[in-house]
Amino acid sequence: MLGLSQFTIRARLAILSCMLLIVLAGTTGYLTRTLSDEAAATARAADMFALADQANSARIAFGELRYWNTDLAVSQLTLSEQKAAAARERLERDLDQLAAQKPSQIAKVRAELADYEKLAGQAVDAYTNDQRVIGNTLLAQARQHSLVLDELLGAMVSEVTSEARVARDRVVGEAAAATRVAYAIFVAAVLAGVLLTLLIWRSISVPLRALVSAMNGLIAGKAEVEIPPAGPDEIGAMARILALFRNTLFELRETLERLQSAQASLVQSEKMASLGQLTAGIAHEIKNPLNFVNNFAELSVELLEEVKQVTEPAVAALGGPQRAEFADAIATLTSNLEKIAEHGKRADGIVKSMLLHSRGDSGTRQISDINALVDEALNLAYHGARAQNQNFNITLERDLDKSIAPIEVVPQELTRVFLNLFGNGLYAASRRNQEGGAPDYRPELRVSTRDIGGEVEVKVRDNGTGIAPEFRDRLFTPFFTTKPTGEGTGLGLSISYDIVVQQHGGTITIDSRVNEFTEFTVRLPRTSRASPARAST
Amino acid sequence: MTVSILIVDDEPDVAELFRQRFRREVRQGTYVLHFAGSGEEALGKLNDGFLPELIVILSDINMPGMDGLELLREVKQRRPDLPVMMVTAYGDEERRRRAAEYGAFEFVTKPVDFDLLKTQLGQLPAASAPEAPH
Repeated sequence: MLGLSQFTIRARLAILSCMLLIVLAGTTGYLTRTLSDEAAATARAADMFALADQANSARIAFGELRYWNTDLAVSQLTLSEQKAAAARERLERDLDQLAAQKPSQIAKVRAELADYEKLAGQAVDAYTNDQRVIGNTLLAQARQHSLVLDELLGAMVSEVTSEARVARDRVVGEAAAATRVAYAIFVAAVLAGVLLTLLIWRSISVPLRALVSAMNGLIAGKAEVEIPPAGPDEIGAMARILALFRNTLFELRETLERLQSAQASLVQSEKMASLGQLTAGIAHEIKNPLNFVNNFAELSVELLEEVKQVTEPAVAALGGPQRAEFADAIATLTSNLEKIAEHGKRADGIVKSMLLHSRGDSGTRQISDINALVDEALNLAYHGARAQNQNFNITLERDLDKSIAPIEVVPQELTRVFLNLFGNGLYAASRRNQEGGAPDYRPELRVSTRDIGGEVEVKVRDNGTGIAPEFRDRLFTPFFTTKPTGEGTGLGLSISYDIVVQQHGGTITIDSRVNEFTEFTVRLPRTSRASPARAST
Repeated sequence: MTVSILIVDDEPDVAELFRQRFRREVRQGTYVLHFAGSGEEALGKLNDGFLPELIVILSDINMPGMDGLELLREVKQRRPDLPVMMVTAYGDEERRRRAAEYGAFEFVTKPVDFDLLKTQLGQLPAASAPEAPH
């Protein structure tokens, strides 16, 4: 498996084809050679059989020759002589052909034949001269030779025949062996081919299946899906591309999340900015009529005083009940006007706070020690709270990171932010104390600063009443407050948001649990990236 | 010695407010108050001349038509020595800078602190320029 996956799929298929082709070519070569060998052997065997036939024919021809020679000797007929000559001719032809294959034996045959013919010729001559006794003797002698000759020829026939049989048996045996070898090669080739095909198939299908399941996982949105390890082959290349694809998907997803959160905070900033502009517009419109209300109310109090002085003699002349009634009316009128002036001033305070939203970048940036700002604001806030309520007591905890290098901020604006946050914390803690929680409740305000690389972090944590989840979204909205009427303007956090986010390009976040704690986290970047889009009027 | 003060504001109630705030001074004959509802009207009155002598102009900045800063420039061309105090609800740097550039004597932010204003008026030098001819 591992061996095969070292090769590309193309190479694997080429290996399979080559192996099958080599087996095929080898088998074909072997069979071709064997077949041609067998054909030659078969031809030789056939030649042997033909030779045996020839030897047999020579024997028959010699038998005829002997017969007709004997007949000639006795009958002296020309026909017999002719027949003997014809047999002799056939015998000679056969012997000539046999001589090519069996020269030594044929030489013996010819020697015997020569002896026989000499004696037979002499016998014929003896009979012709009527020397019968001599003729008979000679014939008997010729007969001895003919028997030897016949024996020689007979032996040759059986010898050649048996040689031919051996040759034939060997051809048949070799053909059978070649057939067995061919079968064996075929079976081995089929087995090896099937095995190799299976191996190649597995080496492709297993990683391919893993890849497909990884792709399905990606399609289903599982970015953490495991990509099979990348080999050197085509599937490995696909796996590498898929891994790249997955990583890109990861990055895209993260980018999308970042963009979405950036968009959310942009929308929030935009909302705050437009609210700020609206607030400023309203504040300006209200400011002028409010001035008149306050001025005329104050003036009216003064004028009433003058009325009292001018009418004093006349009032003194009045009867008791009327005088009391007049004094009462004047006093009520004065008190009403004072109330108008007082509430007008309160409204003026709110309007002034609102306008702080819309002031231009009034403060200038200065290299400031954030710890010093925090410390100063904390003291101010604490003494402010003590001034309002002598019985108020709280544990203040400072955890200031002394290693924070000074950063460039607008110090008076940040002091406002810290005053707001500390003031809120002190208020929440004292409120929980007043509401009479657990008897062992100890109000506590913890302020910590920390250097976190590119940003400086300030955490303000109180163990006060906490903020209900339904109020969280509206915390930074202008005029939103949970304090009783007259105690809070609902602008503190809104202004703080403006200063931290819009002016300093930082963030302000909140974590809280009702009746446990509230923690504000302000982060200020070291390098200024304040939004230039500020509400200004 | 009785002197005149010219107050320029498009808001009619401003006149009433100043009258009441300065009622004692007017009664005692310290000041004579004059009012104009626009920059143009103020220039007209300045051309006509004042009796008694005009020592200061108090002008709003935001007015329809000729605004306070334009009025300031016109006045400074005619009476370079006449102090002009600018009164505005918008206490921003830009307006302050332009008012100072055009030669405003003082920049007063609304709401007007009348006690402070009276002190400032008391410290004004009597105008030395001759009265404009009738």
